[in-house]
Amino acid sequence: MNEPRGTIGRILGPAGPDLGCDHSGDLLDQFVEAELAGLAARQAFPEVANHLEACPDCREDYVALTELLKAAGDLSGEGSA
Amino acid sequence: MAQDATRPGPSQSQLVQLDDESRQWLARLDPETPDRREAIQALFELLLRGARHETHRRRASLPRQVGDELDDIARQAADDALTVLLRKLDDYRGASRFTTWAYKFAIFEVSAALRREAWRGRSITIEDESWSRLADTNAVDPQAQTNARELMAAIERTVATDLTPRQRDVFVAVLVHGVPIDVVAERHGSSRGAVYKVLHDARQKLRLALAVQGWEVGSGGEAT
Repeated sequence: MNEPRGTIGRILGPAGPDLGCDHSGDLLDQFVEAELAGLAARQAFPEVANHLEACPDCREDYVALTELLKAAGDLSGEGSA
Repeated sequence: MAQDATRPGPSQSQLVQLDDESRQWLARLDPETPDRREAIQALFELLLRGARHETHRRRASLPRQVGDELDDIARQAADDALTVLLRKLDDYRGASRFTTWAYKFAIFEVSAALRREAWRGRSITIEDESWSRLADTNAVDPQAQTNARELMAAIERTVATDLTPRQRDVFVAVLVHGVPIDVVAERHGSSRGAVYKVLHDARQKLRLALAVQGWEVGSGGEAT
């Protein structure tokens, strides 16, 4: 996922299509898994990528889920199925 | 912990595409399964570990008074996430691993709770529009710096003149003062999605107005 470029870029947001918070949230798990698997998540989910660049709260959730999945191996244990 | 949901789980035909662990989770959470209660408890523990991971990761950036409540926040978030997840269990189609899908709800709940707690008791003073601290540091050459300063001044003027009061409030709160959208939504009795829509419309209007003024703004916000 690209970070917004500079302060003005952050303020204006990306120019492309944007799914909004709810629909991006629906796809966030797929987006993050694809990215962590080394797949072209931004190409597969361009509207999610645009939204994550535009929405600070959803971007924070994206970072959080990414970090959690990276650490998930250390967290697995008695809660697994 | 959240009350057991009574809605039926996904049909068996959905399970064939799933990885083994995800299929086991769904099988154990099936309302007809005798050990469903144990599965729900295990799911709660998974969500709690996810929520605690996030509270720990963000601990240093949170106000001290929030730090004392992190475990309560994580527990409540895991409980809320469990309720949402069980309600949406029929929607799970195996597009991601079940644990990834589940963790997502824990993150949504704990992240929103941390934002709200971090801003608890703080006022959003939009009259103090601190545009001056938004100097763009990306530009390196003097001409680009001048362009960026002039574009920023044009943005400030356009926000003041072209946006509706509601758009201006949201725009300045989120993008100038860095108030989380969830916090703006809470104080307006609204939702993140609805507040984001206001912000999105404000940005669209701003881009159009800047174009009318002769600014060519790239997709990443650079003045060209």
